[in-house]
Amino acid sequence: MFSVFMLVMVVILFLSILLAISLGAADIAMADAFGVLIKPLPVVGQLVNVSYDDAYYSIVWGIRLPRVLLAATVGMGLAAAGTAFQGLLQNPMADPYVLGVSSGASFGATLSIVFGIGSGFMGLAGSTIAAFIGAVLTMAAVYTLGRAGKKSSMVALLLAGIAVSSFLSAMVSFMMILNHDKLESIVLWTMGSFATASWTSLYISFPIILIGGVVLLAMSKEMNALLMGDETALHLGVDVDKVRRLLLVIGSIITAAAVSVSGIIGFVGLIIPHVVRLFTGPDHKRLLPAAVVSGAIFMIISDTLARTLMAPIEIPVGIITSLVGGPFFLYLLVRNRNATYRG
Amino acid sequence: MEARDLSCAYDQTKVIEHLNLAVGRSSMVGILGPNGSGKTTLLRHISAALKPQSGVILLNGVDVFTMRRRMLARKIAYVPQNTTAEFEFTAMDVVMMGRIPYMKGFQSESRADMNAVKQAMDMTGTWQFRERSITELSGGELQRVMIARALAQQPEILMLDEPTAHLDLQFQMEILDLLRRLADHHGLTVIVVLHDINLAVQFCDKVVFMQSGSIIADGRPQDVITEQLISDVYNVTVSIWHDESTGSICIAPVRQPPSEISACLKRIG
Repeated sequence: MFSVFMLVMVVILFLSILLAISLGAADIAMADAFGVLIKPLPVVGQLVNVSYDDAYYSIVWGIRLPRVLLAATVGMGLAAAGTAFQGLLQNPMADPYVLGVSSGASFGATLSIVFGIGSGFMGLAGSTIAAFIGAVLTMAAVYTLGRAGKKSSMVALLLAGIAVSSFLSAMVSFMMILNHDKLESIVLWTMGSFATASWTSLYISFPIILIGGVVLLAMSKEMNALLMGDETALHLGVDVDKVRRLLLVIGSIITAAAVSVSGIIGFVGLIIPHVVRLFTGPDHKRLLPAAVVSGAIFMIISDTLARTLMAPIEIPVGIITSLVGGPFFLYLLVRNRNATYRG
Repeated sequence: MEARDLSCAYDQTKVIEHLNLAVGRSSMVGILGPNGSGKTTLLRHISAALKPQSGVILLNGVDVFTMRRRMLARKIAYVPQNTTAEFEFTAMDVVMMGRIPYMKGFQSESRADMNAVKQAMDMTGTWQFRERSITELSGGELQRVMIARALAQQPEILMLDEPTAHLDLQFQMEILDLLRRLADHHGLTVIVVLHDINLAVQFCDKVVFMQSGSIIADGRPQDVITEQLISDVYNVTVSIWHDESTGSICIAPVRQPPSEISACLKRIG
């Protein structure tokens, strides 16, 4: 049953990639888009005989494909991190940004925008690198502060996350006030966008998110055990403290990798795990893979809407995810009234 | 299993002091005592969830605190107090979690794991509702699923913290019958915290009475339970008699005349 479900989801993912590639200022038929995609591949490319406009090639491979794949990657990462955070904090309100990773990234990006730090490194935007560093440093700070008390409790960690997060948000606002000329680029960054997507940003973020996701999946049994309570998990042979620490670090690194190439895209990491859970149940062995694929699909569709709805004006994708995701989530909640939060 | 000179403390408050206890293989031991006497703390020490200040817990002569968690989970299983079912796992999913100490990373369930789960669910009579979500189960059914999960760990020692709390009399008897069978026919050592002395007397080979972190009495129920002991431990007057129908001793609290209660209250101030 589950493998059929996953197969369908993966097919939908490929179709949405294809659809996203064909839509845009220059409309490309889906068949042509498929041909352009498949032509450069070895063996398979020789088998099909397709002809298409050469301009399509550079549009697809140069502009649209990296953007679509980056959206998919970020969607995967946010969904995976959100699932992990909700599980390990046992908190339905948890999302990838709950421990302040996003504010750290914003702060880093804002600094780089305000001070115009470099044009970047190895083809990456300066804001990307600054955001990643900001996110990782913030995670380290929150984690250290959250453990400063006598016991390392999840509540202490959450509170530290909220405190650090509001402090950094205030700093970002303050810098916006002081630098009116940079206001727009800062605001646009914090709303999230894939407009600056490139193969380079994909090459950097995809491996981090893929490896992180695989490690999370390998720990799905332990995450399940944590849902039964710390006491039970411990007696099932799970080193609760170590597993929590590992989940936190991996979830945060995935989030940092996603946020630094796309800005703060809200709602995906919060609702995708919830929505998917309604179908798969709380077992992380199913929940995690299903959430990852759903996150990718949702993000591709959102980004496609973001760049086509009001073309040539781009809507920040974070606005789309919340505008579309919010009502959809509410609809599901009302439909499954008795299944509000079950893990 | 034996505890040697075990002491522990939260902050500065001693919870357990110089405690010694030996539990023989395939027996059923009831741990009794008033609230806060250190019963749960003792269990958590036995499973190395807490580090003792001094003393050791030995399992077949090995200090449990030096054992790896996964290895220990194959020897000792624990059913905590007040299990709640908030997540829509199926009963079978939950019992399969008992196999976590035997699985690693991506490894999926082997035939041995399936067999262990089937056996544990058969023993506890939970196989029939394996596909049902634990959120839909009654208290007694849920408790049996939790015991099945512990059994799926194929442990030598099964520890339960008040497994009969909040259950009606029929379920209480069912659970204790099950534990008794596990000790008698499956060679398990069962250590169970109980509140009901009468049930403990009927089912346990040995009872341990705790008070303020120390063991006051330890032995066969008919040997150790006296009116004096109960009065010392619980500060309650009881009457004890031999009951023909149960074949064991029976205990009933005796209500104090009002005058004595008020005198007692006056003394406390």
